[in-house]
Amino acid sequence: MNLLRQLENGRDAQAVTQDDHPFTYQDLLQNVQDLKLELTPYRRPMVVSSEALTVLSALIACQELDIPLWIAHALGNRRDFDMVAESQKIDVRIGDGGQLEAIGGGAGTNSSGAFAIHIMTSGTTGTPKIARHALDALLGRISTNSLSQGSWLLTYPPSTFAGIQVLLTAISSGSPIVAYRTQSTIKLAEAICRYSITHVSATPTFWRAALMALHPSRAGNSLRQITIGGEIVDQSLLDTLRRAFPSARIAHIFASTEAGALFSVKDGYAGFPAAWLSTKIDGVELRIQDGILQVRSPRTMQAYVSGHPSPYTADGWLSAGDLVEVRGDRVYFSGRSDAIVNVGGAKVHPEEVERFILGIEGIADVVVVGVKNALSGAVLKADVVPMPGFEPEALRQKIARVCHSALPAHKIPRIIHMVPHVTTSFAGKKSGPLE
Amino acid sequence: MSDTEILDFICLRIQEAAMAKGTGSVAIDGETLILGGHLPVDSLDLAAIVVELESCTGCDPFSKGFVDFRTVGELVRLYSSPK
Repeated sequence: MNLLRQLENGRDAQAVTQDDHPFTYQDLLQNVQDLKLELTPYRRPMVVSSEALTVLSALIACQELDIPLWIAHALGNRRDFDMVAESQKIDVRIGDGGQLEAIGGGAGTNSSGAFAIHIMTSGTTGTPKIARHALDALLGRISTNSLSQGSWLLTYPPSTFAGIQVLLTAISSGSPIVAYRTQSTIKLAEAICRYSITHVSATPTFWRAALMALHPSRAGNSLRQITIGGEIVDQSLLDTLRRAFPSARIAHIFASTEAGALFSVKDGYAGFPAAWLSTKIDGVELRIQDGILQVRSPRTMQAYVSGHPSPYTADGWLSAGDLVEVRGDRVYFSGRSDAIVNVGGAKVHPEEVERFILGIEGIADVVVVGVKNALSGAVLKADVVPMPGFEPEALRQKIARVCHSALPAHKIPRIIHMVPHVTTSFAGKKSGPLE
Repeated sequence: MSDTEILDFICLRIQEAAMAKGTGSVAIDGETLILGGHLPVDSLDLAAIVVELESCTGCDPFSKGFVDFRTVGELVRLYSSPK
């Protein structure tokens, strides 16, 4: 797909509203033409911006120039950027407002390559993994689905895999996007009302907070498509969203920076049908090896270009690192294979405990982590967000009682704090398994 | 935190653990054995108390390895400010 052509078709219609400033397709087209001209001497640009408008312009300009683009997270520090820029031989940095800064030897010193999109993982530790994707693969699920026009809200940073998916989906369908540099849930939830947003893709953590900020009686009536992804989706969230927004389509999507967009589940139930293990779904083959889901998809990344070991098995399957279990005719996600906490010698997946607590009445959200200590290796701590109208101390005692009556000793959070909101990572996901 | 405040904090957390397990309130003093006595707490409850005491007092008596203690009073003394 030629992205520039999409802009030309849009003309004077609204394309992107960035921090409440509207830009038409014509404005965006002009941005792209200017950037294309300025980028002409360069071969390996990296865009570092929290502006959707800038990331989108860079994507389209690089497709036109047929050169690769690296997309970095804007909140990283300068030293991390310099490290990545050096290892990837980046020759120009595209910053906010499309401002260019020549890097290292400057223009034209490095070899080029055809257009490809390099996306970084959002993990908080170690050097970022950089996945190279082809545009066709990123658009794979988008173009095979019938696209409905609407107005999209970008809840993810535009540099993340999920953010790029939303930008490409909106541009491909000729739908306007509303984007902010901030990831404040309150601000984003307000934007749903102000701009009569119809399509929102976000993490479960976002949706739980938005459900509190966004009362259906005053807003949300515009929502036609709710997409949930990035973390495990539990049944209670699906049920709550269904009750709050009865006329919206609700889907949870399975995707990752490495695996690409794999498939979405639209039947309103957590997990996915076990039948999909024996039949392809959206062109993707699925299998379970040692409790971990593996995929074979035409939309996975081409390779890491950051020197990290390949996540592909010898027979070409990709492990996404998600632990799954088959119960009846359904496959459920139980946690990340790398997110295990050792509590007194027993292994615990904090996400499993989170899902249990989310099933207790009055809980808006929860994050469970292991806290290291000298006595038991780790002990579980739950930070719990109560729903409005529930007395926090009474709820705290109830959670303790319910967990003690239903969970084995090592899965019971022994520290329970009531908090106004949960802490999330750059990509809007809950924090890691240990603190 | 004073020794009395530390003791009160430990007693509160033990009573909460007792409530969560459905047992009634328990009598506690400095000589009470934390584990292996009549208190309805297990090693993970104790680990949680230690984590929270470190957070409240800023003191980590286990930073150089495990320190032997058995009673509530001995635990209080681990977190006492140097006199």
